Amino acid sequence: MRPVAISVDRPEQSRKLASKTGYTFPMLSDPTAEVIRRYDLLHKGGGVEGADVSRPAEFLVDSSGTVRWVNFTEDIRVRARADAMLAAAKEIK
Amino acid sequence: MAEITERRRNWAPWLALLLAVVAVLSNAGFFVSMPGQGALVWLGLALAVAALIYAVVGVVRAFRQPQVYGGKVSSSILGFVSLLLCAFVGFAFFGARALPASAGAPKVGQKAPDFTLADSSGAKVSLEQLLGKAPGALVTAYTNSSAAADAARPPKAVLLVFYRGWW
Repeated sequence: MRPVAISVDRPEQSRKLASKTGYTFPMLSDPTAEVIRRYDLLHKGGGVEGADVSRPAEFLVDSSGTVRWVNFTEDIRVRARADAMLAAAKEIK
Repeated sequence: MAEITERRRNWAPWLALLLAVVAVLSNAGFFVSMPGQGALVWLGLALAVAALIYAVVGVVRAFRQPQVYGGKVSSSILGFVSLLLCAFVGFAFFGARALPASAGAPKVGQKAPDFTLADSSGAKVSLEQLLGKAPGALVTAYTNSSAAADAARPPKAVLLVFYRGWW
């Protein structure tokens, strides 16, 4: 399973975060929130200083491009757990 | 014969403050990726509600039964501080849950909309490429060679993690 992170952060911000945390997965940049809108995840004014950001959400997509598992938190403090995501990925043969 | 009133300690405002502080501190649990975060949301709110009840009890006791319970000033101050802490807990609760409905988001069984976005090195990456369906160098995103080797193989699945950013 290949994790991919997507946010409105610019590539240089993602680069900083990756070097700080050691993340090796791709971190994609959607500063205009075009893709975030396409996935209907735009949280208007939800970010720092009223910036538009993505709401937290996870989609597990199989090799045919079909969504197999989704997770939408009701509370931004409650994050998706790695064990839940790995369990969902295990279901995909 | 003079009536003897037994003086009692007004512990309610102190209990209110303790509960309110614990309610605020419980938010730290969200930063350590502990299990049961869904329950922690409600635990924090319940602690704050309990704190408010005890704060009111403390103030009412001090003012209605001053012969039994002292501390009009202390219960008022403690009640006010507890109120502020509970207001913070309430703002955090409602703020964290003010999320869009996302009714149009892709559902299980639907195709994930394709996209092309820049990775942290600025290189354009599409969902098709991530799925291994289209040729493309994902390797640019990786600094370490084992991760780069992993990226060369098509994965069984791709986990799209949309996050708030600004970290």
